[in-house]
Amino acid sequence: MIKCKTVREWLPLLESDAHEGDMPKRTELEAHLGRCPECRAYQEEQQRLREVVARSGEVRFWTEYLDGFTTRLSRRMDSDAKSRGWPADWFHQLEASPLPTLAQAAAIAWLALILVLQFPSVEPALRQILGM
Amino acid sequence: MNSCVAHSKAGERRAEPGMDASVERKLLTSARNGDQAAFVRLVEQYRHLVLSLAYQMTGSAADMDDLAQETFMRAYRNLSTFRGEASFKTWLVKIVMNLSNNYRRSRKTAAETESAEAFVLASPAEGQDLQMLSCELRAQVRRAVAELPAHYRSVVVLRDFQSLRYEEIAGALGIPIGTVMSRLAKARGLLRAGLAPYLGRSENTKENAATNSTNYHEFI
Repeated sequence: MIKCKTVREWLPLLESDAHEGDMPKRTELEAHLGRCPECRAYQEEQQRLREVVARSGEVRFWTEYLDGFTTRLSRRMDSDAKSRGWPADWFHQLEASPLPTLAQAAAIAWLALILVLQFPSVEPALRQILGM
Repeated sequence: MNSCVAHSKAGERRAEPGMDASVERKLLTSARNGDQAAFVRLVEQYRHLVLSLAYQMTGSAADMDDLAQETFMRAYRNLSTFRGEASFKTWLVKIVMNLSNNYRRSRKTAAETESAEAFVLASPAEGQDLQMLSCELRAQVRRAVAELPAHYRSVVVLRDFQSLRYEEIAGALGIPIGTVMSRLAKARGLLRAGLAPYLGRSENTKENAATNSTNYHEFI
């Protein structure tokens, strides 16, 4: 039989249909609450606490503030886009997904090497592209 | 002192109404292809959530703004890596919670003596752009939440302040749903102990609450 301590620890389970294998069954908790006045009182108190906490956490913003926030963010995005050339983009991509980016870089380097070895005349053009 | 502030003035805004999932997907696709205006539409949709979370986690209106800006900038820069396995909302929540936790950790060492007053509502002078409610009870609750260990505070903020679903919380924090529930139960147990005088559990505590010039029942 499920214990009071377990029921109290799993009360959040009754707030939603979400369930995973290792949790107690919802019906077990409900059955216990039906016959245990102490746990029922605890549950009611928890419900009151939830209401108080929920009401206390509410935050409201002035429309002007929200609009200003978005405007400042848009300016930052503009500035960010302008300051980013291909090297910054590449390092950013490297940070986000290192393996595919390194593989891509290795493939390009390999291709460039083959081109230079097979067609030495393309070397100046490659240097120009790479800014060397 | 009852310092409740009326909060029904014009110009005040609460959370944005939900956006249709297909519209959001289209905006995300456009934003990934470099359409900045599409990303701004997404910002308008989620800025209230991100700002609220940043404020609820840090307790500071100024830091809230910085954190929220940084959250959206990181999302913007990393949009190409967002694969849509979780929802965009969950992804944003994950970013803001990570940033907020790092912020708190770094502040803790820099200012160890700083008390949990961080969650006391900002006065109008501190948050000129914000309409903050400042009842004593709210301050007490926020203080109690701020005093929770970070892993408990996160679930209370996401569940009880923001009403996120367990699946969303689990996704944002990278923990199983069962862990979300057990942390929540423990966090509420701690809050229950800290807020006992406001919950009217016994005659004695009711009297205590009365001496604090406010009572939970006034706010229900």
